Amino acid sequence: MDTATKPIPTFALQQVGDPNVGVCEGDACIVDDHHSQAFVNRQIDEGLV
Amino acid sequence: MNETATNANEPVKVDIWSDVQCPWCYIGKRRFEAAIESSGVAVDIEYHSFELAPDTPVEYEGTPIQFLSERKGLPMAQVDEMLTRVTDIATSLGLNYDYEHIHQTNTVKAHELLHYAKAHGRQLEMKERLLEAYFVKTEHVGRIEDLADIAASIGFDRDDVVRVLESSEYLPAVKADMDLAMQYGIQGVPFFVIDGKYGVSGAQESESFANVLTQVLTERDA
Repeated sequence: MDTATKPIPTFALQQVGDPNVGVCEGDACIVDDHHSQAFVNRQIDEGLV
Repeated sequence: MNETATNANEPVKVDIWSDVQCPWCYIGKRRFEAAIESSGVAVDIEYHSFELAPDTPVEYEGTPIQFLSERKGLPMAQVDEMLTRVTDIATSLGLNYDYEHIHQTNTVKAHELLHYAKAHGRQLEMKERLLEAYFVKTEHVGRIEDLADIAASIGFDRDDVVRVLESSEYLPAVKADMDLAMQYGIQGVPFFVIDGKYGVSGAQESESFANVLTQVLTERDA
């Protein structure tokens, strides 16, 4: 979605959480490379993978 | 949506916008479930429809890798690498995504089915079943007949499901959810509206979700 077509929110929300986590927008699902790899590495360190 | 809960004993209302073929939505669902368990906060979850690619044909011929490559103009290898990263994170949560065999499709009928299930008080069960169908079991979640089979597998009346999907009885509910997403300014999913005032975008770590849930309870007690 480009800037010109961004919706104007009617209801205000207090945004919380990490802004760099995985999210799907339009037909693309994006994630910051470093963040996702760091997460997987942590899971491996914790023996969860 | 229901009114915001204000009684300290009432569960925290959580409205979640999500699409069936959104890999982060399934990951976010698992992380949020972990947050509920770790925080001990009672929640009342309601899923809302968000169509990420409403112009996708039901009978799309190709894999998600081809789809994303075509749509985004990215080399297939780069898309494959992106999906591998997502798949690795899903695997770490016990979700075995099978991107080699997933059927990319249009999800509007799946969303209608979720509203049908909500009307029967079983939306959460249907949500889990549809995500599992798409990502893990690689069932087709775009065709009415396939969706009816999926619904029947968890005890719904197959003929009734075919009837409501063919009549598009719940299409207005899907569109209403999309309109509400616009009013909240939601541009991507998963998106969590917690207690009607906190907006949480994306598949956050479970600790982040737990912090918000705990904060809501703390504010109620104040």
